[in-house]
Amino acid sequence: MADSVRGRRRRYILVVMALTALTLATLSQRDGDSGPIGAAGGVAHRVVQPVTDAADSAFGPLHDWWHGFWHHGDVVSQNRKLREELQQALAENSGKTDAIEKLRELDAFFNQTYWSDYKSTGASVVGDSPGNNETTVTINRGSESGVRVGMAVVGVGGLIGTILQTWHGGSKVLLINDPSFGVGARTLLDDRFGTAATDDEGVLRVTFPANGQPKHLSPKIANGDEIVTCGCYGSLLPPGIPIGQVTNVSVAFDASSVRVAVAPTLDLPSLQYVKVILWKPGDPTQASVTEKLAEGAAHPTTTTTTTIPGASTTTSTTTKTAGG
Amino acid sequence: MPRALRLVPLGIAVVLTQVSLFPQLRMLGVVPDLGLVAALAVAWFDGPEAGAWFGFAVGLGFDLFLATPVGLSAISYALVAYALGTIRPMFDGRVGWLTLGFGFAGGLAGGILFAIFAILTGTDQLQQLHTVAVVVNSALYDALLAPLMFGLLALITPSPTRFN
Repeated sequence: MADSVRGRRRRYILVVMALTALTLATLSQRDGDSGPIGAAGGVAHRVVQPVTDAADSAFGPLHDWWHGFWHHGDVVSQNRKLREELQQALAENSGKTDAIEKLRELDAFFNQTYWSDYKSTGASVVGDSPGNNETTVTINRGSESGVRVGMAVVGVGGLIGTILQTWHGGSKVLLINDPSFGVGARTLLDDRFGTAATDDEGVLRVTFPANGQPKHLSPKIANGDEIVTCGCYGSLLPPGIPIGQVTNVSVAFDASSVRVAVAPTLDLPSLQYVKVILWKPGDPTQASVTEKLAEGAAHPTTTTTTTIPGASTTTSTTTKTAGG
Repeated sequence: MPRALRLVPLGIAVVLTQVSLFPQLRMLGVVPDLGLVAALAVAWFDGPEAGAWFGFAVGLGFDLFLATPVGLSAISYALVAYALGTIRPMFDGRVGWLTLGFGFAGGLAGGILFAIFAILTGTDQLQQLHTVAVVVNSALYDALLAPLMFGLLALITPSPTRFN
């Protein structure tokens, strides 16, 4: 009798837990960062941040050793490459110091190119993904710096992700190589729009609708073309931020779309500094970006395309008529 | 100090360690489910109810740091810990090297449950082959940590209560 009562009580507890978990999951899915669950997450991050920073400092050497243990081959080849580069650099520029190099690197980062005019805030990467089912990093700038959910985060070469969650003193960035990432995209030199997302194989791809006429579209996209954010209606990201370069162009079997593989600008192992673009939908596009995009439209590319019958891959040769 | 109260600082320490230390100590590209391993140990020493409560609380704390919906780790940890606590009478009480098996099997079950719940709640990115590799690797890591966690539980709560 007592066992029966105990068994019923245990099952009741499990049912209560399951219902609680379901409710919490639904609330967090529905409200995202703005609801009470998101706020609790922000508080938790804020409370734990000092511990994480201390652990970073205290266990840094342990992390280096651990990383070296599991990636010994990579470390050896990287070491060899770095030694060669060092020798070359020493031979070429014996007067330069590391500090000057670092300064130049940062200067180049913060004054990059036509899209550097967007208002932004610099940040350091202070943490990796805590779990196995997400590709995120934590940065040390949050709501106090004007960072909001959905804003673009850029590295040296361009877009690396978007703000997923923010709190006072930090933010979580969803990286571009996470399967749940998606963004409106276009080629820099042509105003065709598509969607960039990382597929199951971890390859970043952009799909451009072709409306059954891929030949009208594919000639305008070729290997090496730069893919940028489109800033289309409804997009949370500003236009003109580089996403990566086209490495492969293919046409869907039903000619409904053209898919391009893109080598992203993200270099995760060396990711130390990032910028958060403080642009919100409705903010004006920087004049330099508008000019650059208009320049592309004014000087379209001429491309010879060979489509192999029965295959989905096209081979393209691109010639820029002017500018670009 | 009552045994249940001793588990509170343990739970906090487990969550802090999970989110601040283990992201730096990835093995085969994954982090372990330290909270799940701790919940298994609690379930072994204190019974299915205690294990389920501990797993739920620690999982909920961990969920606050993840991008996946809150509550998924909590219910996964709770169910797996409850299951181990329930089958514990089948063993003679000495745990020893069995902890490796508990850690691996618990890690697998927890990872699979998490993926199922995540997919059911609309987290589609887990529907890929890569998730299987992540779950298996993570379970291996859990197996390695399980003897340490069971030993720690035996140390901080030296006279386990009878739960059956």
